[in-house]
Amino acid sequence: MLKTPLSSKPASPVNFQALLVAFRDYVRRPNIRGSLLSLLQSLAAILIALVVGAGLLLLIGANPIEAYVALFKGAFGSWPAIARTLRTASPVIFTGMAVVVAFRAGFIYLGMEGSLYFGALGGALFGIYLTPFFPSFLHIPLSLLAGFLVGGLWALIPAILRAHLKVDEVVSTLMLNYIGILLVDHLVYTYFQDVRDGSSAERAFTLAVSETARLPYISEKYGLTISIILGLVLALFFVWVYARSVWGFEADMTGFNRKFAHYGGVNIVKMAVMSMVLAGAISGLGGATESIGSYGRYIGGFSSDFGFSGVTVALMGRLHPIGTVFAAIFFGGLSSGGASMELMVNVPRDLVVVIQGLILLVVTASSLFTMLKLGAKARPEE
Amino acid sequence: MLSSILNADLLAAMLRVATPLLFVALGAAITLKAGIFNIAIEGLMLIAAFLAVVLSTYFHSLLIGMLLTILITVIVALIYAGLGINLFAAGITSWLLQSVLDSPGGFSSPTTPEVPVVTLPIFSNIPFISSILQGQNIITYSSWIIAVVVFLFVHRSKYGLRLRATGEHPVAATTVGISPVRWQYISLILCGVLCALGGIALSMGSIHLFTKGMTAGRGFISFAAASFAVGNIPATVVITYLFALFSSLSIRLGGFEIPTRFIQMIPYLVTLAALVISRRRIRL
Repeated sequence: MLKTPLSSKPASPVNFQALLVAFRDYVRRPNIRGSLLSLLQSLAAILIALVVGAGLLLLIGANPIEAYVALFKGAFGSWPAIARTLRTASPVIFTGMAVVVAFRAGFIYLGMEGSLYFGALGGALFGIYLTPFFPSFLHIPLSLLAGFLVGGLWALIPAILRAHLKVDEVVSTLMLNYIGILLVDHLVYTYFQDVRDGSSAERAFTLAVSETARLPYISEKYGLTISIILGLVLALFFVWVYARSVWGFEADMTGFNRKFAHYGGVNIVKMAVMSMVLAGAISGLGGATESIGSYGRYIGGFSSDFGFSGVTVALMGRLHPIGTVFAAIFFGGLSSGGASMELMVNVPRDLVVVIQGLILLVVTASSLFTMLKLGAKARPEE
Repeated sequence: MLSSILNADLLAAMLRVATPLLFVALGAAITLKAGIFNIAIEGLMLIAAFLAVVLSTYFHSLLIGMLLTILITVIVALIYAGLGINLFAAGITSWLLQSVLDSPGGFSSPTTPEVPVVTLPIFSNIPFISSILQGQNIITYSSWIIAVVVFLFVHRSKYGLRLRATGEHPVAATTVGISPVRWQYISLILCGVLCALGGIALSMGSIHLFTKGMTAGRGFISFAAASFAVGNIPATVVITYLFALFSSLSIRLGGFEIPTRFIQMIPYLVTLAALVISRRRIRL
């Protein structure tokens, strides 16, 4: 190391440029062994969750094999099952991708749910009230863009709090989820409520989105729109971002070690704002694909916990865009299979939530245990 | 007008709201002091609230129910998996409600043993205070005792010093022979016990029932209270009571011309504001 500690100029013992290049090669080299290991870890998590779930089934006197066969058939056994699975997976792909973007840069942004609602409202309002101005081929992308922007704007609050006031983003985004959902509901309820067909007064409910703004269906019967394709395109885009773009590299470097990234010339404050706002915007986009998609309007409480499901699938997919897509489809399969399992073998579908929870538990515990073992080393200082 | 809001009833309501939050916030504070960011407390609280009602009904005994609740919650707390625990808790409680207890949505039973209500004879003659304390149960009183015990443990005992050293500077702690990992595990166990008590206070305190997802962010709010206080125990207690005051105030604002959804927002807004105001920040 430094041989002349008293020299006035601190001689740099390493060539930083070379270090950066080495790091880039390390991150970007095709690592088949590593990928296989990640895959195995995720599969092991699924297996453990299924075994524990089987134990619970035995506990209530149900036949686990029968239940799991029903679950699988309900998830992937037929075209209707697959369509329902993909339909459930679509919004989760978006929230999962949002988690990938934020977590890879090292920011534990959990505000997907709030942004999802804002995006859904933004997309719906654009689709409802700006009908006379746009033909369909413009109206759909612009409505999606509206959802993207509104979702991102909502995420700007925790992002700025994090970047400029150093307010911890975990708790702030959790609180902003509750606040955001209530706020969106309030806005709809006071200004945009559909009072014509006198539908349920309890629920916030906008007018229907006009036909020119509705996403085309792949299967109208099962509510599957092209949002699943948009999700796939988004995932492929992020594969490129993290493999080739400068921003993706900087984000990964920031997530890897903030100090290192700072010395490497990354503006950490800007990275914090950008990654969190982008995560919010992607969630908002997901919300818009729902409101101008199969729902065709904003409906209060439309999300069945899509936000946190995004965390599950992103961590299951090891924060890789493609892994996240597969995890989301698996996750959608669990949800839609759970419904038919309940119907066919009379096992409550909440078992699926238990299994999802167990998967997330195993995935996070395995990474956190290593953190706990590292003890002192795992505490990044600021 | 103002006296219809600010009276002894408000303070009594505040105590009822604060008790579950206080236990959980103390638990969060202990883990924060050990340098752990334990967001699983929301799920732990939910599991404990569920177990407390079900087990004490099943065994016809408050004591056995509470002890088993604490034991199981501590075991779950040791898994230490944050959001995984929260999702697992939401799933397992509603699944058990439906498949084992056959009552989706919630569980209550006329045979659930009740937590005794205590009237302290010394205060019963003081006008204002007696009406605040009237009808408060033993859990509320014990929460104050436990807060004092936790304070003495964290801030006045040598064990607390080791715990805090672990969080402040793990490397320095290691060099003087303190094992940070051991103290982090101890903090998780203590946090589990306190979250269990918080869950018990929630479902067995003023009401005797468990409803699906009944914690509704209370764990997160307690966590925010503790992180606002940077794990300092007296500050955690004061802030928890302030949060409880705002929550019980918000319930009383129903009569005014404020939209209901804004009233529901108040606890979360206050928590967020507290986070912004607090000086020192905590990182994962």
